[in-house]
Amino acid sequence: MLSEVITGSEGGEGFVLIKDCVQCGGRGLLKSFIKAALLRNETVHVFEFEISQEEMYSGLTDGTSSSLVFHNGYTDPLNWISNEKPFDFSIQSIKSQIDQSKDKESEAKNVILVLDSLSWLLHHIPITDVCQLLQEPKRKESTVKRIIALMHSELHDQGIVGSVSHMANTVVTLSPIPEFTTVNWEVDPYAIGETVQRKKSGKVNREEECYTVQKDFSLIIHHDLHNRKQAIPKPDNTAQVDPAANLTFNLRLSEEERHAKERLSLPFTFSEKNQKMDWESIVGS
Amino acid sequence: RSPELLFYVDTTEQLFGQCVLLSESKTDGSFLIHHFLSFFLKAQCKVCFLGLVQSFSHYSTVAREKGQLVFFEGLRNSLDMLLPESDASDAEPQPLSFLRWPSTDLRNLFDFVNSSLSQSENDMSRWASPVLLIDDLSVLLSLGVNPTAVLDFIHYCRMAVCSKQQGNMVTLVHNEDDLGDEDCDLVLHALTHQSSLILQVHGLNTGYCRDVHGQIQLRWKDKFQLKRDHTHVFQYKVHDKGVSFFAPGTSSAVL
Repeated sequence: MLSEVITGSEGGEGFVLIKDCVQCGGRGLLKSFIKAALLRNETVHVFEFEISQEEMYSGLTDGTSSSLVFHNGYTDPLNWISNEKPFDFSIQSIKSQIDQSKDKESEAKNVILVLDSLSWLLHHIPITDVCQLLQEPKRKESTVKRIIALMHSELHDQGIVGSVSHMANTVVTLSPIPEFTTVNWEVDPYAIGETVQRKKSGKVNREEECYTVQKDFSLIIHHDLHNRKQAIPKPDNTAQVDPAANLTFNLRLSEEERHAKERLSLPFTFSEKNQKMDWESIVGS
Repeated sequence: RSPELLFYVDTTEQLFGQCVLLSESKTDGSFLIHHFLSFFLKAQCKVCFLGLVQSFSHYSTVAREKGQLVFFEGLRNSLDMLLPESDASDAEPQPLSFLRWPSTDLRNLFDFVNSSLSQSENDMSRWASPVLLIDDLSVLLSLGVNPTAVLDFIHYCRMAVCSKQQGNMVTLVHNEDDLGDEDCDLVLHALTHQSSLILQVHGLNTGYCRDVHGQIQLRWKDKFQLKRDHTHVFQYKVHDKGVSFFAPGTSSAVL
């Protein structure tokens, strides 16, 4: 299901949210989405706030593609550096920058909007403005066909995470591979992605897949995660040594030995024979 | 491979553009700051050290060349901010101006870091890549700085030092996840996402031990988030002149 969401074969419209965590980052997956869109010759606007342009472009594009429009919100988003061009990340500014690449011939929506990251925006603009932006694919006049946003779950209140997730058509939540999975993989798995897709009909599809993003940002799905979940194998049991062999004493008594033992009267016990303690036999004469 | 070598990175390529996070939990992790300080000074890097919790004399035993180390003494500077001797100090922007006006950002502190580490022509031939050390970041939160302002400051430092100049940055934060301090947790998680190497220092669960002072987990992250993190765990003991690291259970007192 994750592959279909990336290739956009399910209509590909609306808002896709990638929620990552500290153990497994979602940027590899985000770039996988971007790569797939570029291969389909779609116009991709990347609003980047967390890494440099070189890092974002690395492996994805050599920078010559006109389909990829990079908006640099990393170098100086807050206008602290005097000789850098200030970056306006207000919602109006983002919308106007996207509108500049409107397809004048047709009215078709043609822009894929990528936000890296939505977390950065949520910390710097009111959530109401952010939600307005996330509604863009639904607006008829807008050029935005699809929004793909990366969000770091631990950096926000659960309420905000929930509200934003609720607005999404598709939510991909990443979690780390469980510890007990064995390591016989041809390609090392990266993380588990749970994809929840809400269709227009109201139907909700959910699938959990183990995936790896390759260096060329193509996606590999590992299909047999459950089969590979094995308990840690027990060490080989060497031939069991019988600990009761070769003892210098008897572990068991034969019938005669048991009777003899029961008949024996112990010197320090009272019996008909010993009316008082026989100290001499205890201590020795 | 000895644990010390693991700290010192495998190839020179890895010495560039690293954003390192030191998180200390139930123990004092500042020995790592000393460790990195001497390492980078020996490697002929120009170092800007924001010492917000200790005075300069605490670190001054480390050998360095003239002009190699820019030390910002937070304790002394904060006193100057809070008890200014004259009004002349208002003319220049002060790195710790947020102490007097708590609602503002850490822009002045960033300007101080940026100007200390911008390499002139002379500098570039003399020193290897620049390094920023921060001891420690959590104290800014304690002083009332908004966590978003702290993260913006780190953002700009990482941009200016790691991305623009391919330098390295080492930041120490407290990790008290059982306290429920949302601001601390937010800063810690955000830095965990951004850092390429994370060193988590824990005291031993069993309490104080004379021969093993604690445990340290190294987490190397893949730059492009395509491969899972590499982790290694070591135990350590702090000596007068340094630290020794060893695999868990192999302290010389035990073997």
